[in-house]
Amino acid sequence: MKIKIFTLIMIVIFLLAGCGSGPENVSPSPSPTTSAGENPGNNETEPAAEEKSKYYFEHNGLAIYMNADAKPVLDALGEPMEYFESPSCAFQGMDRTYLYNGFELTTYSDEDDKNEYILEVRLMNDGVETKEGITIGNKLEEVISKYGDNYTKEGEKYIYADSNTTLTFEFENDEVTDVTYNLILN
Amino acid sequence: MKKKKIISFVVLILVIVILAFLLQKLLMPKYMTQIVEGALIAEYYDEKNKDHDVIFIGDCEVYENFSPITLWEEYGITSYIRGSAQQLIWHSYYLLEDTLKYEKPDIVVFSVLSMMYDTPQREAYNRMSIDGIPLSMTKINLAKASMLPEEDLITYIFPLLRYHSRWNELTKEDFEYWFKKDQIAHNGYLMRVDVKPAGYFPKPKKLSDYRFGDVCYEYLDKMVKLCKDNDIELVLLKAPSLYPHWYEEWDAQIIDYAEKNDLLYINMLNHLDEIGLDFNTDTYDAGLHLNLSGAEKSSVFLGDILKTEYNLVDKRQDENLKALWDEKADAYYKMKEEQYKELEEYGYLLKFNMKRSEGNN
Amino acid sequence: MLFTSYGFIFFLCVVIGLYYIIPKQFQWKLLLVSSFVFYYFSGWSNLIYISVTIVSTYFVGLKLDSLDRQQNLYLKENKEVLSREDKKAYKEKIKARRWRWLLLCLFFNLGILAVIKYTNFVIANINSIFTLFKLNELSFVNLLLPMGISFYTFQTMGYIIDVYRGKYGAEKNIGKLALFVSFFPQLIQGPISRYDDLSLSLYKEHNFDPKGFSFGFQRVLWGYFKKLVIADRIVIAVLEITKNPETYDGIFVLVGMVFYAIQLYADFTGGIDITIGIAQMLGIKVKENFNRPYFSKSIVEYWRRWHITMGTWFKDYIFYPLSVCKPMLNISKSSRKRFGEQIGKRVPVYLSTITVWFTTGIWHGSSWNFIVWGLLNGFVILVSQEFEPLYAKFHQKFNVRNTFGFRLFQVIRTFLLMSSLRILDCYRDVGISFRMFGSMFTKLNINELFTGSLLKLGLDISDYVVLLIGVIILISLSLVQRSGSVREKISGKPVIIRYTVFVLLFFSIIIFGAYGIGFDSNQFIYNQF
Repeated sequence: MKIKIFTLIMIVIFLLAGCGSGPENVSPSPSPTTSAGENPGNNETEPAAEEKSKYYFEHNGLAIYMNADAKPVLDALGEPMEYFESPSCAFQGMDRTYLYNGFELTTYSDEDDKNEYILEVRLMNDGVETKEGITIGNKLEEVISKYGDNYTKEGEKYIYADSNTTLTFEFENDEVTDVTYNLILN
Repeated sequence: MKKKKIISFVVLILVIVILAFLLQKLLMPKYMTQIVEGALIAEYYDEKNKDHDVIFIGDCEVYENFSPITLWEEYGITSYIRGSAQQLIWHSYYLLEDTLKYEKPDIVVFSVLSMMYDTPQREAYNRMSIDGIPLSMTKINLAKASMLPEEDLITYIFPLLRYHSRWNELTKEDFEYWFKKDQIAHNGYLMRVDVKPAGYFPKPKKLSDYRFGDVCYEYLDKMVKLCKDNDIELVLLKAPSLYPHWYEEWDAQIIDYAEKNDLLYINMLNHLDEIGLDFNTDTYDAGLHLNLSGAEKSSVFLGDILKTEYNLVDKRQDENLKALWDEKADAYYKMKEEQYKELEEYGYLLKFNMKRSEGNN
Repeated sequence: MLFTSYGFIFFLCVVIGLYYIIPKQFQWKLLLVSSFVFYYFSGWSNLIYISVTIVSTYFVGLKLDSLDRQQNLYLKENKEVLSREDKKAYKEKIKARRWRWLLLCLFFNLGILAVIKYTNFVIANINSIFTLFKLNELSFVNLLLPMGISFYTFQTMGYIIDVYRGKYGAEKNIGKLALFVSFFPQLIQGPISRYDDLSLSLYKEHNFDPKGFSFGFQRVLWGYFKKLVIADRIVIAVLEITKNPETYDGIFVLVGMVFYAIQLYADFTGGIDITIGIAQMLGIKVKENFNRPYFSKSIVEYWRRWHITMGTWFKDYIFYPLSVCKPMLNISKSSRKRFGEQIGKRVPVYLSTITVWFTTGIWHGSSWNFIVWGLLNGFVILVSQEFEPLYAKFHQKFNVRNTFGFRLFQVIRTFLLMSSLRILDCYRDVGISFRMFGSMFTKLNINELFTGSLLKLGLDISDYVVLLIGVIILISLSLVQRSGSVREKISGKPVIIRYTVFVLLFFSIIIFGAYGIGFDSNQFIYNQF
């Protein structure tokens, strides 16, 4: 009889185990996983989110995502045409801009300057295009037809945002004059 | 019996205060061998003769681009650069307010590049600009105006509460400079003799809004008033740096503001030839800042304008001042020599290359 | 306000300073105002909830008292006239009325607690059923949990039940009752006080007592040391392990378990030290909530030494009443008839135990992992009770009960057992918890501990040194405490030693505390209850 009760309890417990847990928002537990949550750290260039954005720059089959580790990208792209360094004051990290054929790639690094991450990609001429086929000189209707109307307009800039990336098209006389992928910083 | 207890209690409090003071001094960053920019603000207070014709305020656009020694040697103008890394306009305003407790300069030169920043940037820069100031209401107001959300005001009053976590990051430098300091700058000028020619710059981006932030204009207004109330001439300055890009729309706003407030505005970018700057030899970081030769050229140019505009007296005849500045000049040329030696030996300047002092990482 | 915030420390200094300056008759009133100010900082809307509890309990208390007085008066006046049956009937009538008032108060206040705390949990479970039948899911409500509601509600309900039981009369001064409910040092995480105990010192006029003040202050410092130097440091590693169960399985689950045991102990007892220490500085005596629980030799003993006031609350207000209530006695009778004596006599115990542990679980949090945790605790207790005769036989045969080795074994066993159950706390998900527990035995990756992986949890070697020293100090002090108060022992030492200890403690907190930029401001565990 005892064994039956025991078995019953174990079955109940395992059934409950299958249910998983309820929503976590109402009351924290007597556990450390309350509001603390995130890892400690004071990284000012804290990117917005970590899911892969649908906006990324593609060049010769290489996908370049914002905030990705820059090293493999830079290795794949090879020697840049031009290079520019802009250290933050008192050496609190460094922004680097690499000019390739048709686009500029900018990276940022943290205070230790140990790793570079993709901060921005900017199209320089109509020799390169976004993976959806837009480049300098395209018309506004073409951009909207490819990217939809879920944009924010700031002056002559049309900004599409997704996850941690913004894709900005700048217009002059109804034609694209600038295309930039940016990492969204907090 | 009770008396003994009270005495021992008082002794206890004293011991705690002294220990806290010692620990705070030990744990605060020294900025003597790396990130030396952090030592700039505090160095002013060691000045024996706080009485200058010109005070510069601003970020690296002032402390890297002008040499007070040159201003003295060429024109007999005494000056001090109260600059710090990424100094924002509210830092500048309160620093000026603080400086005015010690002296009344004839001219204040403010680098207007910081008008492009209307929000606090980094805790590290706040610390570098604020920690060096002695405790006062000015310092507290400055901290309140500058703090990022994760900062606490009390950590500016008792920096021990901020730097306690450095206990396991203490290095030889912390112990060596526990109670002493090296001279880092020359009346606020941070010397660099190395050369890196200017080359490629990223194409300037079009902004959606060029107007400087309201808070920046507020502080600029306050600065104007502070100078007026103290009978000081405020000069607005754009230093001759090729990057970050100084937009025409920004320039226009400053021209406009200067006109409305009857201020002199000097955009040195419009006078590069006149100054004689050669960005192959006069910059140490490819055009972002000038090196020593560039700074001296800028100073010759600016000194001439200031002397002419404001009838500054040539103080080279003053015996005491001459002696003081001769001493400063000695230190200046000595450091120049040392830096050239270092360049020869290592190929780079030790204090300014964190990356290469790998031993610390 | 967190205990470990600059704001709270400033608040405390002001309150304590004023406390000893103002005329003594206003001291408890100052505490009342301070408690409301303190609560205000957690959200002004929370003040409404606690006020509602105070007011409703106050009036019900008065009502219970007046019914009692009415009964006594009536019986006294009509002593000669009434028959025994009449008297009994009258008493029953009054009892029923008092019972209804009690129920009203309980349902109302516990209802508020239940609705705020458990609505989303119920909705989530209903939704799981709905999705099975492809029905539209209900949307969750957005209810913010007032700080300390679980604590103060239970404390207040204990009060009203005591008044009902006639243990003491109701508090006639609503301000005094309000202070009992909202006394700020214990608002965040207890202890759950009893009115007759706390009121002995809460409303009194207190002279400044240097020894009490100093002892209280030492205790507060000790609490901050545990919280800031140990708990807030080790939590970094615990979070890293528990937020990435796929990466940290096998031996890391054990590491996480033990680290969490240290963290929970340091955090919770540290917070209680601050609470009791502050009260002591104010001349108020608050009951102990812990009695060196990790030295317990069995789970039953553990629950007498851990979160003591919660345990006694559940015992006095749920377990005993449930065990002796009429329905339970009937169940006991009928089960004895049906299943025989052996089983029959166990039924009420089992039912009461399961109820208590289910309630304990759900009191800790509105999710299944807590319910399972609570029930598992109950289960282990019942099992250990069942195996008592077997243990007795074992000890008859092998005379090890009093050997150091066996006692040490018992302590370690209990520690590991309780830490294992707490895995449900860490991973918040029942399935993951069981899986991770299992992986401790299936994934043999002890060697990974020595590959420097411990240094990738967010702590470096200096942190571990501090933790080790901190834990050693903790254990040593607990060992010393067995033979008497540590503070008394220190106060007997020469001045230079006393002051050195104080200075060391003070600066350890300042220097080694895991606070400020670079550390998350971790809330007290058991916060928001």
